[in-house]
Amino acid sequence: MAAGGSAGLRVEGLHHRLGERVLLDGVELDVGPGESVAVTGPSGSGKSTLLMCVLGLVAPDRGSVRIGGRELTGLAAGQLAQVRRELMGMVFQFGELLPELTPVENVALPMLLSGGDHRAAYRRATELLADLGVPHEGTATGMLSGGERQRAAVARALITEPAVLLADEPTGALDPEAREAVADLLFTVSRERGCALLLVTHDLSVAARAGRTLRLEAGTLTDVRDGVGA
Amino acid sequence: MSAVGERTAGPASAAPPTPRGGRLWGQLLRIGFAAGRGGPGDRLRFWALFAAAVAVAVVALGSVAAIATYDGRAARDEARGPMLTDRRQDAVALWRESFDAVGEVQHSVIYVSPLKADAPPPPGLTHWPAPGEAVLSPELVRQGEQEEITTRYGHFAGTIGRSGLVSPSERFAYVRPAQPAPELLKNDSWQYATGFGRAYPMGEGLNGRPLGQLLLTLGVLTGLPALSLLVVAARVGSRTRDRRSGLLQALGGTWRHRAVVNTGEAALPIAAGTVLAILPMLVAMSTDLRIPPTGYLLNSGDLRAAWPMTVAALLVSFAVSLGAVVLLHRVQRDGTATRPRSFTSRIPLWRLYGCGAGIALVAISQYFRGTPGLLAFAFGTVAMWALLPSVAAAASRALGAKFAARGFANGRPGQLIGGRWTVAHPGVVVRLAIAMVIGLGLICQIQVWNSRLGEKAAAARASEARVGDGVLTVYSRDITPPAIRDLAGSLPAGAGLFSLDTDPEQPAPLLQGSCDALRSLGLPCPATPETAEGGDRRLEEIRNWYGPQLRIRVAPSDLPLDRLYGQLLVIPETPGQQAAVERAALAAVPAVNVETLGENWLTGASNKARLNNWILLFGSLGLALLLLAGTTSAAAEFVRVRHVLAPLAVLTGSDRVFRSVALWHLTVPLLIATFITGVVSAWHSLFFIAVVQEGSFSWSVLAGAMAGCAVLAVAVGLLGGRTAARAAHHWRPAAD
Repeated sequence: MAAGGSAGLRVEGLHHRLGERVLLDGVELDVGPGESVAVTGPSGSGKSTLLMCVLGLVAPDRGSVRIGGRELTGLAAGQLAQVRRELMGMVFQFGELLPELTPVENVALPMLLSGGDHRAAYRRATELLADLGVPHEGTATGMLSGGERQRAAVARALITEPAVLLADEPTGALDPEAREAVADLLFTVSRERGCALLLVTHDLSVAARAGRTLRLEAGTLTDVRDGVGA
Repeated sequence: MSAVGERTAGPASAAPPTPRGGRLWGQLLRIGFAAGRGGPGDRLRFWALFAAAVAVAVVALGSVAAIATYDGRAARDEARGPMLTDRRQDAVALWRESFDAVGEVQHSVIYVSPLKADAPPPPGLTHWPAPGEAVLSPELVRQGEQEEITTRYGHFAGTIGRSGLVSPSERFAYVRPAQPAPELLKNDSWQYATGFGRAYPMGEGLNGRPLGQLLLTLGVLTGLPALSLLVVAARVGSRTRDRRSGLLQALGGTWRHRAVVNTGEAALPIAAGTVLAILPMLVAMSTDLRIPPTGYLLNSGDLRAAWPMTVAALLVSFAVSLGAVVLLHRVQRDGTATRPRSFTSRIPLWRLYGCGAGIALVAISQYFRGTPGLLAFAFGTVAMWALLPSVAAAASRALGAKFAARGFANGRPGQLIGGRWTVAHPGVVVRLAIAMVIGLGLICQIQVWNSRLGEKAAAARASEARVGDGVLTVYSRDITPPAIRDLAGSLPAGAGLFSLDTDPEQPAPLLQGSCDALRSLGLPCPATPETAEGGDRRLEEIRNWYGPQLRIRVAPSDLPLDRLYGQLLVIPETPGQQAAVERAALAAVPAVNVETLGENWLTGASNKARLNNWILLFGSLGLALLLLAGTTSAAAEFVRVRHVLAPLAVLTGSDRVFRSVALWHLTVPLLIATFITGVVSAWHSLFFIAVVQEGSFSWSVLAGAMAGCAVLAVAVGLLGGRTAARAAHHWRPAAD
């Protein structure tokens, strides 16, 4: 089992309860650079809560989240936003692209929003889209297919060269062919670009492609293959 | 497939579930009720439906109030109308109508004198006033305080009761002259009355408009905007409802099932809004409510009597609002497809051509005389104002593309997204701009119409500004030589009394007065008529009104007065003596008219202006509703897209983008619309003034209205940005 070390994602002793219900009960997780981890589990098991804790959108009751060696828990809102901006990328279930913008503009948006150099952002967005095989010249975002759209969403998540890539049901809205292509892409780019990939999914065939597949149940993560704690 | 399989999968199971009692409908209602409180944009939809229900119910209750008020007015007007007769022996009272004014507002003064001791007094009076007494309406007492109205007609003997007034805000007076009846009968202005109870329009009834006209104005100016708000509110949050409807349809639900779910979802906000709308009605039922800016006091008794109609109107309003929400629900694929929508939202070209045609029609209307010209102007104006928001949106759309290009070139995401949204959703700009365009147009039109006093009224206004009440005319057919002597003796000290003969057979009007009086105007004392030369500014005003060739002459000891063409002029030594002169004149001659120069022109113009206040009231309400509809529509647009921007904003820690997008998508297009409308309003008003050659255009009113619109544009942008930013703060990943 690879260790997350200081460059990837490390979650230690994460506890979170919602009222009387314990969602995370001492969750431990390490995702190293270039490594991929898929988290599955029944609905309501707390997968999204885990993602929110990693994103710093929910403060856990106990435990720590470290990204790129930086401790997230206890950071002020501004510092949290900076960590998210600099170290994290995220892919959503529906891609969530703005149909009014071109694919290049959509992909460049995170860099523009964080005040980066716009020329570099457009150049980088064009390169990423070309690398990921998304038509980017003369095709409106609204005309992209579901798979192309999701690949564009991956490109958007990668543009800030994040240390950690989070994916929330990234293939949930795709047909089987597109699902395979997007899953391939996610695991390949995270490996090639050396970023830690944490993927939350219901789809076991997608989860099986990850380096490790963990199941979140009763507040703890267990390895699906060997049935031991992560 | 087995027989059993065929039975279970047959049409019976595919058909909508058969309602068992009311259980299914109850469940569907509960589904709708729950659906109204969970999805994105539900809060906005709740308040939009609530506001729309309030608006529709207020219009319905406004109509009820109008109908009830008109009924009450008609009944009271009829009850106080004199039953006139020519037969002296049947008469119980002498009756005579005259007019006076407080400020520039005219009111009726009814002179009465009972002929029989047991004759019932007019409604609103507990007993006949004693000779020399006056009974005034409470509103006349209130408004006329500064002019000492309570002493004008004689001894003030109290106020008229509610049953004698068509409305509590009516200015009205009953006066019993000091002179005995035989004396009064010497002139033929008096009429015999056998009692009261026949329709005879007087007082406020003279200036009223038919009920149908009022309801039409209310319907067009306020009702239509209320319906437009209802339509917008019904479509807010259509994304989740369209998904739900698709699901219901897939499960075999019919439109009736969807309707029940929609009813469950919309019933609560609509019921709450409808109930809230009754509050102002309850207030108006418990006390006489004054309606700003008209100053009209609603009679609470009239409204109380109409409670069955009020309940019916509330039920109808609730049913209309709910029915509209259910009927306006269409099953669309919007929001159900995984693919983002692509937009080709263009402003239909016919709207731009239509606006151009409207402007052209207005421009060429000047070449047609009479009704065709008026119709061309009216149709052109309506087409122009109705389609101008689309022109503003088209301009905004063109500029939006430029803004987006600049945003792209400079790496400004807010400008880029805002510009692109304006290009993709010009309808948002149209809906928002409608209120502003119509509002600016209406304000300019009202200003121009109010400035159209007419030549005479404008001259009267100018006279008033120059000499105030420095020259007073006193006229009546009943002024006799003894009355003139009485008047001369009771005028304020130093006041000059003149007679003015305007007989057209004469070479020029003749002003006669004592030598002292003529000298007080800076004139000589010619024994024979001669053209007045010189004189002070008061004489100048008299010349302005009665002719530049005015002649003067010293009057014989008794001031002569031509019964047909003559009138008296009183020129007080100091200003502010009108009340004293009126008091003296009315004591000498009942029903005499005492006015400043041209005052009757001003009262006519004032009547027009007060009718405009109703247009202002209904128009302002309608504009507020249109603006609310536009803002709701824009807010719904933000709800639709915030789920796209929110994750990015959260991840990048930048919610400034929402404010920036709102600025470029809402504020800037609205500022463009304000500018275009300002230019068109100015042109339209100036064109109108040039054609009718009357009235004036107030640049300061336009500037004020445009500044108001600009503030509103900024406020809408700030509100939109703030709402979206706040919503983004609550965003959480939700694919679990």
